Amino acid sequence: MPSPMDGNSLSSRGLNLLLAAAVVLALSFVAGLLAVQLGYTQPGDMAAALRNGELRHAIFLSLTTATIASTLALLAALPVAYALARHQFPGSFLVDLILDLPVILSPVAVGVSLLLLLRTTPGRWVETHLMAFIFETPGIVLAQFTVALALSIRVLKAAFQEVDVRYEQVSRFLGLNGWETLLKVTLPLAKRGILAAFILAWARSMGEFGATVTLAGAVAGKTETIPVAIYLRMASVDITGAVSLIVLLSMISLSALLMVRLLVRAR
Amino acid sequence: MIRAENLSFSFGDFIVEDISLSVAPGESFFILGPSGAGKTLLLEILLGIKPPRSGKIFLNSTDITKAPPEKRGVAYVPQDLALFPHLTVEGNILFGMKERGEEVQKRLDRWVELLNLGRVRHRRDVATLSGGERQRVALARALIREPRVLFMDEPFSALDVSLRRRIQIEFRELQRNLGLTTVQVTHDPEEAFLMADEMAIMIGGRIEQVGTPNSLYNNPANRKVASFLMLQNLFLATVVGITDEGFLEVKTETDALLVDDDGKHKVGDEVYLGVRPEEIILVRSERVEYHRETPNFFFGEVTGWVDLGHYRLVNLRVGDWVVESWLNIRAAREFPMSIGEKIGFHIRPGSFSLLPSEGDRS
Repeated sequence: MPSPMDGNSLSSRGLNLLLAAAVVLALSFVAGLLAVQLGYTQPGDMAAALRNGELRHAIFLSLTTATIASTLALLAALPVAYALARHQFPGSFLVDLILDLPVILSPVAVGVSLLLLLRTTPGRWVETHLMAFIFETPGIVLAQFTVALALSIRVLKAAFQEVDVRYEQVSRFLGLNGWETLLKVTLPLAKRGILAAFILAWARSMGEFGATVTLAGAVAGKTETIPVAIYLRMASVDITGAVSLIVLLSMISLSALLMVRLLVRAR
Repeated sequence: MIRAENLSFSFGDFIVEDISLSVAPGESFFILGPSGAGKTLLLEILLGIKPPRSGKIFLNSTDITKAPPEKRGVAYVPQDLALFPHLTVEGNILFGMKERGEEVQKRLDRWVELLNLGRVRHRRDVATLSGGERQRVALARALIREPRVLFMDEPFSALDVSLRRRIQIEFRELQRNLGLTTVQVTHDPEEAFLMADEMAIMIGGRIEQVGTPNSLYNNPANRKVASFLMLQNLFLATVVGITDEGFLEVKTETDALLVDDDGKHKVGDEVYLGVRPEEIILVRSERVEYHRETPNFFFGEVTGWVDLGHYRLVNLRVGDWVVESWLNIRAAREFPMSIGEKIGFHIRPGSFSLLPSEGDRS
């Protein structure tokens, strides 16, 4: 028997209709974005695109750089996120705020800032003696790393906050020190959140364009990731080539989202 | 043995000053108080989860105030038990055992038997355990390391009443048989009276009284402790004399009473006279004549009553006072009463507690 507090009996018919219309509109818009691409590409075009050497290089480049960038971002984000989740220190609010910035800052602005950073004296030293980034492949990784880092910190912080601090306290009283507790309690309990952070950071890196193109340029066959390849195809009016890559990128993004949802639901 | 000296600490605006207490080896010690008294905070300070602002904590005369949790050799069972959800039942129990081997296996078997965990020891998911089983697993995990002191924060509060009572009794027996030193926090006086050798009453960030359950029940130190321990009937009175039989003669505004002499009061002292509802003896009308000469015999007008499961709480007005009295529910069924009716009752001189008046005539 429905209770008086049941959501359905509280909501009105008019409101329900409005909500349904809003959902249908939003869904048609996004689904339309995907469907419209199918008019420009056939399964045969996709196969042809995947056989094209340049595009295969772009796919390979995107997969490797995104994997390296998101792995590095995850490693760098883990201690930072844990510190922010567990400790209040003077200025922690400000630290949190600043570290969030790359998530919402325009990627082009991130790219320009990276470029300017590499033009400083320490930046120049790194460029000449350690590794060249500007218009080079490591530049792609650096650009992707920067945006993936902020995102990873955000997701990991939430994951660590979900682990009740009582588990860590009990572990300490059972004789494990701080390190052992981190390895045997906190990380295993935050496992799904960590995996979700990696997948989101990886998907974000795969799609990164603005910062990449500003720092590493759009050098065909050299710093040409999937998004850069799409941009270059569009510039040369190769619609079929561009759309094949968009479909590919959409499928990758959709799978990443699906995996994150499944992980969250498994909690 | 664990001893705290002059602990002061604060949490936000909540300030606790100068707490000292000591727990003897093998003792079951309780920190009892209402919600918001600072009990859990005190427990966390004793455990070292939060640092005190000042003061020291000793374990067997070693200063452990600054020792990290893993070096203290004490165990902690929090209110929610915090069983590790990513580990099996055995994985949880053995979590603190760094080595594995025959010796550890023997210990595991012993604790599984002591805590009656045989049926669930091979469960893979702790989420499938019942409340009582979770309790036992948490205790096994804490006790298998043979800690010097076991700290518990209301660990039985999540269990339903009948199961809670049974597990409390079981645990009390285990604690006595093994000579475990335990420090527990609770807001439930019944739990503390059932399980404690000694207890501290904490109210509003202060320890108001420390003593055995008996001494606290019979002689609460002040009004705060008395009302927390359900000593509802409190009346301001003055000691006016001592009878030949050795009773204190005490006068309230309307009546004179005879009270056992606790040796702490002299003629002229102002005191609070406390008497528990269960110490008020109601007298059936046909027995009234027989009790006319009984000391502390009065008539009270019934102003109302409520039936609370196994007992009836009856309000009786005597002059300006309202006296609460308990009647066993079976006796209540056979005791006819109506609103406005006058009922006789008496109170034995030994049933009273005398509390300092703290100078507040109200």
